[in-house]
Amino acid sequence: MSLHRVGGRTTANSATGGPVFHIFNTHATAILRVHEAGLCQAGNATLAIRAMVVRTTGRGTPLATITPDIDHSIERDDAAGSGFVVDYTWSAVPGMDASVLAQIWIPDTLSGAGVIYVFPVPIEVPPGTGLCFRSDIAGTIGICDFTLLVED
Amino acid sequence: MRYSVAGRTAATAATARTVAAHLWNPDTTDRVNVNEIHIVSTTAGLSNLCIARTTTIGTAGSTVTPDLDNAHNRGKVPNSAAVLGLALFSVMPTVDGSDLLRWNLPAVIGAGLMWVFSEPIEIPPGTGLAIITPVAVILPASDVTYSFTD
Repeated sequence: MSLHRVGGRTTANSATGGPVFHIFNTHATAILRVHEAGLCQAGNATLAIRAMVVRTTGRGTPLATITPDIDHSIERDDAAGSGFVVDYTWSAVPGMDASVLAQIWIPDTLSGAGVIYVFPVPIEVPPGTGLCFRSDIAGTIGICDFTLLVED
Repeated sequence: MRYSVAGRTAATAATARTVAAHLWNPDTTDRVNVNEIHIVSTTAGLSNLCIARTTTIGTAGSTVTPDLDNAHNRGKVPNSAAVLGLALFSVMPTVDGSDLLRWNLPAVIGAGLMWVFSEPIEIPPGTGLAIITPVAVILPASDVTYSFTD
């Protein structure tokens, strides 16, 4: 077991109904386990909106990616063996499944408004798939800070 | 042994990746395990927050060295001699580029956050764990708490 904490800030509002950030399992066989996933508004004037956690079936074409290194490891002993990545802007968005695992309403403009989901039973991400926060189809989510705790 | 140590930072410079508070592990062999980090704004300024590792101690504006009374059972002083450094730093710790956690707080006195880690973030010997502003915006004077074991 190796646990990794990854944080970041998105660089633009999400597309309408689009992903905000996306953890993708690039490994051929390993399963990721997501223990925590959270995001909060960074004070941008967007509509109050529903944010949802959904699975993805492809990576899409990311324009910004965090590749966890040894300093993201909570023990600082190794980089993520699975090679998982966290993407947050895209020229082609990932394919998002319709099933919603969790959702919350985020008020507009208010800095720090958000949620950190803690999953006592982690959400497993099979090889070649992902998990993302996305906005409701009715609107966009403004620039956000995000944080993840991932086991691989 | 579990310890909690707290202090108040000074407002940082408006420079990206400036350290506000910093728990440093000076031990040569033992690790420090951080279980919780709390931060609360003491002035009405927006807080952009990030937790990142450090590789040098820098020169803190003030320090808090946990003693017997920081131990939850008042049993003994920390083996690691861990020390909390607080802004303003005259020499900044060397901050790694990897962000472990990010969040932000509204410009309200008392706005705060308690990060409680289900699995602690480990600080290897001769390194640290810092609260920084990840962007070029002042991080206001804040009350901070680290809870750790060593």
